[in-house]
Amino acid sequence: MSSDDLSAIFLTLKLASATTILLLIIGPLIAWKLAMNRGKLSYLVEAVVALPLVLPPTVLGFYLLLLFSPNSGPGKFMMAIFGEPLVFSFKGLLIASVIYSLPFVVQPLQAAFRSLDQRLLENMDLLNLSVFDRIFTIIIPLTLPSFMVAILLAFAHTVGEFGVVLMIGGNIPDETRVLSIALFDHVESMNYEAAHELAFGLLAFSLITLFLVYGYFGKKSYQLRWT
Amino acid sequence: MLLKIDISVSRSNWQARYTCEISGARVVGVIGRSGSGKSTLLRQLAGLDVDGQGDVQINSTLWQSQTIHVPTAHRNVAMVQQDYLLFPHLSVQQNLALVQKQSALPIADQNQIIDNMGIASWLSLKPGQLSGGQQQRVALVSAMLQKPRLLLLDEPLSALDFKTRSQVLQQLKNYLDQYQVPAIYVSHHLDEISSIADHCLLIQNAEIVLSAPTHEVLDHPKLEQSVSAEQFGSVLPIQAIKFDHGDHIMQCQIIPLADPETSGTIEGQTIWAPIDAILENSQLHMQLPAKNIVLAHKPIEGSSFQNCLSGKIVRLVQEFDHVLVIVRVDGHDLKVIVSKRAQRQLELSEQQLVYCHTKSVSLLTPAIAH
Repeated sequence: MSSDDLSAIFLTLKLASATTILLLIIGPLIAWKLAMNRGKLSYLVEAVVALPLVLPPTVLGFYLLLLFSPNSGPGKFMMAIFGEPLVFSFKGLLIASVIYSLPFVVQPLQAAFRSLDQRLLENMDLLNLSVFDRIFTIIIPLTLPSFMVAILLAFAHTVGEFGVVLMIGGNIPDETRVLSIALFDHVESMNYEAAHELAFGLLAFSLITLFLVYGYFGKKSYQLRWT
Repeated sequence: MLLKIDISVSRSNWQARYTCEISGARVVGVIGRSGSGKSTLLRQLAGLDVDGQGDVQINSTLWQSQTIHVPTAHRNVAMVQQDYLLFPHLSVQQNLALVQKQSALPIADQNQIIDNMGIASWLSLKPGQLSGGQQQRVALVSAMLQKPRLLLLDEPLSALDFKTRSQVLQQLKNYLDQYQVPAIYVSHHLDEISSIADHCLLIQNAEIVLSAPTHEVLDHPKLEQSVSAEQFGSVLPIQAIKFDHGDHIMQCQIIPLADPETSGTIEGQTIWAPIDAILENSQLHMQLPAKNIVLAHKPIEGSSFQNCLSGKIVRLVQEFDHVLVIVRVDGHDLKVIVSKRAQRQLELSEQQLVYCHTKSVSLLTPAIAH
């Protein structure tokens, strides 16, 4: 395997890890709000969060491209914050990935939070538990399998990203040249052997991930038992 | 404690109104049939439901008014419910630790409570490994460790067997006395209410129909509509005297009440009851369901009735399809339900001497008095 391919793998893992970590901070908050409040606004938020599931990634990429462009108002603002244009940069890719994989974290967690026994939540109030205890002693342990599903799906979905990266990341080695782009390059240049290596690796990784999601953690989240 | 409640709850096709003012009582019993709105009252007091309109005041603190609704977490109430909720993924010890962290009780007292309630050996187990009764005891301990401002108990002993029920009730009573914790105690069991509550609320159709000292409520005609036919009856204070190890039965004596008509002390009559040996020498409240008592003009011989109490009929209350006969036994009013036909055949009338028979096994399990 060429050093270019190895660096693409490394970059992909870095992007997927960073995306997953960010999503683990944002996702549970949104999922909790959505699970607990059933107002009209929450349906709108739910719809927005779910958009990446149905939109072609290129649509999301196109709008993010416009948004991140240093010529646009928000783009200038973000450039002032990050010190560099977000288009064709790792940071831009990271923000796009977070948006793109958000439903894969929010949806399983929202379902898990909603299925929590209402009386256990009341008990937290009766015992006047601290926020720390509520989150880390009760809620996360009770919904741990769903957290594992969310982590796996977010990670795998980010690894498998292509359309969004193409639109706003381009093909810059060590910055935005992720696995799927490298694979595309190999096919374009008819280097099928190198393409096979990457493609098969991705296939195996995705299969194992989904097997874990459905077979192990998915099953576990349906049979929460502690005996 | 001073407790002022004036709340109304409106839900689709269901309305409740709770109004009462209790001062001085420390343990308030709540009696009512299932579905009469007892649990709703407790949930309102805990602040778990926010749909109630009106005022709730405990001592000098306002928990609810037109403009205020103190959230549950800030009320410092503890609640033990029939379904004894513990966090299923935490061990008993971890469950208790959540409370102990912020308990106002000294550690030594906390450990004492855990020991007294007999749960020390389960600390490392998960709730799923305990029986329903054991989980209920842990939930009760958790509530006790909290040393709340108000302890809300909704059938807290419902999952316990008879023997443990008496012991746990005794421990609970000691705890409430020692730490001066006010409590609201909901139960179907009149003996529990009788032994632990000094004041009592009768709830019918989501309304408080009677708020009075416990002994008045237990003798009140409205009681009959508030309890199931199996539970309706009298509660007598008794002394467990001697356990017969051969027959596994306790010899007890009614603790007589001075009767204004008969001067001087009277010896209480004997009752044989299915009470555990461990309760020997303790004072108990024994519930005698009114349906289970058989009246006769003279003691019935050659039957399996173990108990025969003599008394005088003081009152006959004609109901639609039966007669409620009040018999004074050792100064206590014993309620007996007979059919109209039986009353006519026996020609029962006031001031008449009668014998009240019961089988030992039909006596409802007693709760400790002191």
